[in-house]
Amino acid sequence: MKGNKKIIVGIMVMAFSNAPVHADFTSWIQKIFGIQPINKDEYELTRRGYRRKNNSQSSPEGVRGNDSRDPSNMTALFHNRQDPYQMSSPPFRAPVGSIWVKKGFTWKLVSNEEFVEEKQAEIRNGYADVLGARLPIKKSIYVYNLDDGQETMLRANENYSIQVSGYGPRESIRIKVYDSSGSELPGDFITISNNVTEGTEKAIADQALKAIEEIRDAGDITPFCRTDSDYGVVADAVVEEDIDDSAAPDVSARPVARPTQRLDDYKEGCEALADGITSGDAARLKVCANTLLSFVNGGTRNMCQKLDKIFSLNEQEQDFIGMLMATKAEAPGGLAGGSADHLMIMKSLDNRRAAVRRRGWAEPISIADIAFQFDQYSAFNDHNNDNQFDAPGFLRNSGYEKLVDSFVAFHSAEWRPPGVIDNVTHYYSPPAMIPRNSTPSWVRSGIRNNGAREVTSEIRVNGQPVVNSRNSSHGYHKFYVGIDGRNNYNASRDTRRQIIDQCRY
Amino acid sequence: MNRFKKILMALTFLIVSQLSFAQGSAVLGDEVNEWDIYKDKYGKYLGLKEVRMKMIKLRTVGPDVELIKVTSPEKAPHLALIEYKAGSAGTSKIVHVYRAVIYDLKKQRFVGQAPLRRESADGKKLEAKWSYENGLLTIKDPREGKLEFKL
Repeated sequence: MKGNKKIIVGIMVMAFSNAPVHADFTSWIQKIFGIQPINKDEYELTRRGYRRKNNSQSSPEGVRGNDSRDPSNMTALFHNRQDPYQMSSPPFRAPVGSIWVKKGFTWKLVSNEEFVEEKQAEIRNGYADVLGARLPIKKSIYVYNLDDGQETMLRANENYSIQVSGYGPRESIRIKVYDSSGSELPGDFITISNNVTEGTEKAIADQALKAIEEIRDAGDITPFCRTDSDYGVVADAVVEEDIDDSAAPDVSARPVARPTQRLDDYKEGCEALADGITSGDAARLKVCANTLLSFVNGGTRNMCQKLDKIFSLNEQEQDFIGMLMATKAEAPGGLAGGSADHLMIMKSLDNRRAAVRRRGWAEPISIADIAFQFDQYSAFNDHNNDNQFDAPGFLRNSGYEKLVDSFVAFHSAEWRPPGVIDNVTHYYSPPAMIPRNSTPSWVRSGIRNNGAREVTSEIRVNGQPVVNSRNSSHGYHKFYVGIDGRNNYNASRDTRRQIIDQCRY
Repeated sequence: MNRFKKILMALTFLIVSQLSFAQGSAVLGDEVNEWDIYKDKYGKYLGLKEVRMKMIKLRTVGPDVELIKVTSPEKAPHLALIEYKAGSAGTSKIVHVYRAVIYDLKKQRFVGQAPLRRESADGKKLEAKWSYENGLLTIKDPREGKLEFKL
């Protein structure tokens, strides 16, 4: 006991012996206990304790860059992984699924997809010469066509050439193959990297492989773009404490890009589809809807023949009628034109199209192509009749006016949350499930294998939520992102020809 | 004479051991655990684990794609039918789609792929009819029509 007292006294003497050095008692205490002093200009007291003030708070997810380098250079931004606090900060925390990018002297909030696409495009442009090069086959190599699983030898003396286009499965190299006349061989070809370097011009091939590696790395934004859900953070807490919406600029996703292409062969009223859709087009578009429905329904009661007619329309008309029919068939009943549910069904179609474009589906891809893919939108499946194509009234001429209003609203709507909203590719209707309220296996698989999540409660379209079990007597939907993996819609394509030929009615 | 006997015995041993080895070794691709599903952003692929580039793109309808089993038709034992679930899809009434990749075990090459069956949420099944005659594999599917593979 006496020994302990001596030790305590000793410590106190040692501590107090330094006391005169510190004029400020608080600083002295901080030093003893290893506390870093708080700069009160940078922090403010909230009911959860001190936090950084708005201009320096929050780890700006996705913010990369270094003020010492050209901030407009996306590649430099991407590759620099220094502490984001060293940068002048963005105005507020990036919402889940979006990312801050500094362009010049201003910050811009973009979705993760835009960020990656812009960066990959920049890298691709930087390597345009090597990625565009057709490398002549100098030494015979094997290539493999993923479409049919066959292997082919490209012989050195047969004047084949290849072009590196990216990575394939199992670290293979995806290539395009050209014959002696310069025509591209049909197929999805891969080979091993050694074949590319040893069988062609090594110097260029090496650079092409380096280019695709950089492009692939640019697509991996997870190391610094993790979302709150990845960290297990509850969204409400973030909204309450960390985001000061009053100080935030508008973060709703941009309106859907309007088509500006004018085609040749519009049916009556449908020329309004060219040059962008505005509220002033509503009246003409209602005429267009009637014209298209009369054309499609006229002279036949056979759904498959009607499909054939739909795919004979021009691409913008196919977009229009695809949106109207899918929304009419799928949406809960009794909703007003412009309702969030109508627009979200349209959004899912549009998002699927964007995703398959990224995957390389051959153009043209209309909304009708997306809507009438077999099995995907249940309203078109007649389950009571051996999965034949169904026409449960969505082709009747009535009831389209409010859907046209929704179509017009779709093109100027404000969507939240940004980033997330562009990846809503899947939804289902719990009350319409068999058994009722069961969960589809594609939901379970998407969550388990691809990190998918439900975002229904987060969605706002022009500030409005979608309907749910409590406020809809006509059904409701649960919406998901990431079912087929990040930014993807992975179902195999049924071509227009297949849809028409395999249609049974 | 003794020497000749020894050589004969050695040769016999060699031949027998080679034969037994050949009989014991499984043909590559006839068991489900020799296959795996690989993916990239463009799709999902069935591949032989032991041969890196031996892959074929699967036709899928949803994310729940999985290998089920490998069988060989009685009339065509040199074929392996690698059955897989092509996924499920639907916004209210879900459809589960099953397909098979046809693999020639003798030539070690893919022949193609075709539908097996579709199962609807209400319990209905829509099955394709497979037949093998005179070196021709014929599949008649209510959705995809008639498919033929010359073997």
